[in-house]
Amino acid sequence: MTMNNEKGIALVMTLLIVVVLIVLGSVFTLRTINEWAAASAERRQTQAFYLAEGGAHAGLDQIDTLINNYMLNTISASNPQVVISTTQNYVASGDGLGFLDNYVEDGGTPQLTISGSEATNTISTVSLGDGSYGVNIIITEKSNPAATGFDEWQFPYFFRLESTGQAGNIARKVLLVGDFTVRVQRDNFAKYALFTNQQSMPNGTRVWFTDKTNFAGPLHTNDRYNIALNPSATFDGSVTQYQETARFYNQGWPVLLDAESNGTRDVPSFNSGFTRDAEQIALSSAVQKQDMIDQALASDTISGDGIYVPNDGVQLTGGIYVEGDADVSLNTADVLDGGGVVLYTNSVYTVTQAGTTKVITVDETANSTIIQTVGIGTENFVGVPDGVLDVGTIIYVNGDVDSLSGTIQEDSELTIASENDIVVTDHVRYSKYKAAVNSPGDAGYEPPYVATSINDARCSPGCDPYYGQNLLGIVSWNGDVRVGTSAPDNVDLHGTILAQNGIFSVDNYFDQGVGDRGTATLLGGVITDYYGAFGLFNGSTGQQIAGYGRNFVYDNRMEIGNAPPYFPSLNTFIAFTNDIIDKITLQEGGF
Amino acid sequence: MIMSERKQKGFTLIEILIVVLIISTMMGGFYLILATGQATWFTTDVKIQVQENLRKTISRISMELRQTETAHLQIFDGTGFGGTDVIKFSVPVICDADGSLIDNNGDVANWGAPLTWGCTSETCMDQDQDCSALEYKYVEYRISNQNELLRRVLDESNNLVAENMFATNVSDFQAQLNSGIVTLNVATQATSVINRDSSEQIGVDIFLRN
Repeated sequence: MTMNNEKGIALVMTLLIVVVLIVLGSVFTLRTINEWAAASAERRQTQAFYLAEGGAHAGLDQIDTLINNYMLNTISASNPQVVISTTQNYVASGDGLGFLDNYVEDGGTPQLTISGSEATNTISTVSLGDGSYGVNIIITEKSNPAATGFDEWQFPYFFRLESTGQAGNIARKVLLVGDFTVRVQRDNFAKYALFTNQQSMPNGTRVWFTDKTNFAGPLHTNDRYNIALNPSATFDGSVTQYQETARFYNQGWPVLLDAESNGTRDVPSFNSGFTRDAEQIALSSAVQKQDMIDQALASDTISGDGIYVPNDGVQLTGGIYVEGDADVSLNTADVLDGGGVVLYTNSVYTVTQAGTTKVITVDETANSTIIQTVGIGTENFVGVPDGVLDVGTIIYVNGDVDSLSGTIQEDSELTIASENDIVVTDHVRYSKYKAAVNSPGDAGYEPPYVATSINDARCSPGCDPYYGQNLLGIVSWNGDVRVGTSAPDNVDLHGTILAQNGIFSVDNYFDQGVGDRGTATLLGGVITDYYGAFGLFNGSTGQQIAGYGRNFVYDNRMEIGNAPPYFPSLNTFIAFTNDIIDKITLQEGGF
Repeated sequence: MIMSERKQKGFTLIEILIVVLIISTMMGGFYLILATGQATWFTTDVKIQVQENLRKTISRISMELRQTETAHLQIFDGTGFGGTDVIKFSVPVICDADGSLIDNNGDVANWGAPLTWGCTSETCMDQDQDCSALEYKYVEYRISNQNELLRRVLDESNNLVAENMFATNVSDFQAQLNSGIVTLNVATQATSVINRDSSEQIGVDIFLRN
């Protein structure tokens, strides 16, 4: 009996312990499985959120495509007279949605569905990573469209992006709302990185584009381009020429070909296409020059040489007009509060004509201007010298600008126009810009730029020191724009230059006594009759022996419809929006 | 005869002692296995709790926090229980049937607080749905003296409207704002019944979207 009992206890004990361990183990496993499920649900939730957010940003990009691609292409391909009359009709009837319906087309197919007061476009499910997103784009009218100037209209809209991110069986939603304004206006010369009537020097020497020539913005010539070497130049913007054929170097035996390259001998890269046989674009007319004079002079009458700032005794009515040759210097002055903290900055324009100097301090924030005539006295006015139509500051010199230099205040849009030559005697710079890193051609070269918005990908976050809304136009109607002999080495010139009957060049560029002056950096665009000379190079080594090396950097702000005030415009129309992402509001869920 | 034969076949004292020794060794072994298993169980159980609390804290706060903007966020450094931080903020809300998040200037129309976490309709974002004097103005996250994570909704005069507990065992909660990014450092800690401490901590960057 005793023996039997002992055997029984061992078995029961073992079973008991096994049972307890199984229970413990299975509870433990269960908790682990639960935890694993919770963790993977959490992971999918996070994935779904970022997919939804990514989808919302794809939606922003889609709005950009709808307007800045489809609508722009439709409008710029339409007859300008038709654009004017239809747009005026939509403005008159306050029909912003009808305008979208009419012009947001891709190859004749409308891209938006109108129902009631909403225009919609859908991005159906797009796979991304481990999940997918889908976006509903809903555009509604914000307020009535309006005419904002001569041949210029604005259509304000709200947008609403309903984005759903899906990861596994979990969906999350993100709502992005915001507004944007579609602007319709005449196309502007300021958009060009380079525009020439003749693609040669004034003496007939051809200008060859080689691998040292790179352009970030649009190019046009009313002539033909001369292209050499493999690899050859890189063009990021659209390239158009009037002639049907381009000239290729062909190892010293130039040929004319209706092609984008010459076999493997001369091979440029056109990243946005190369259009030959394009419409000839006439440079601006005498009408536009007279308009500029009218904006500057308003209704003042000229009584001999001098500096005129038209006013009615209280208020400024025009811009700044100078009769005779003048020196122009651009500066900024800080406005301080009581404690010495900088509140904002003013623009200071110092204009000297013969013996008279006027220091014109423009306070855009307070909408007032102080004019100090040196040696005589000071006058205060309401308003700023921004022309009759209040577009932006205009200085018109009916003579030469013998000296131009200085810094352009961060919010000032300015055009300096002269009847004859304009000579740059020192750096002309925007107050906020990102300086170049290294020199062109060196490893690690980064071109200078002004951020196109506070969210510019090149500097975000932290665009504040590089983002300005200033623009400078330098217009010579019947002369050249020249970099003078007193300009420093490695001169900077920020602005868009138009010399429709002249060139943009360097004085004494051949002066070997002065020698190598480094690189002249232009941040902007050049619109001229001929190509100008900048420096002298050793033909066999390519080494620079006098003058400047040429570094033309396109100001990307011009790509999105910006232009200096009263800058000459083209005949065709453009439609664009550049404020989609300036204010957007995010809500999770929300629809 | 038979009985006496059986007696003769009985165990000796030595045999019984050996059996007792073997059984007690086995029992001791089983107990050790059981005790270790139990200890692991308790520790892991607490660890899971601690992790879950950490996860809840981070996910709940980040979902709301990323909808705010710098100007509508306040961090009160070290003013909470045990030197923890308190964060108080508002998010864009829809406060009437019109349902617009932005005004005609494209700016956020109303900054307020959803009464319940995750709510997105006007019914739970403004009591009288008229957009004036928002009854639910601020969301506040703070740690209670029980180490619980509290989500509190305050009105415009900072009076408490609602309070919910989202997580327990939160031992530290620190927030820092640096150019549009809030860095949250959260630690959770708990002690199991067998007096073993489990703790977890995490630091996350939350990008403010608005």
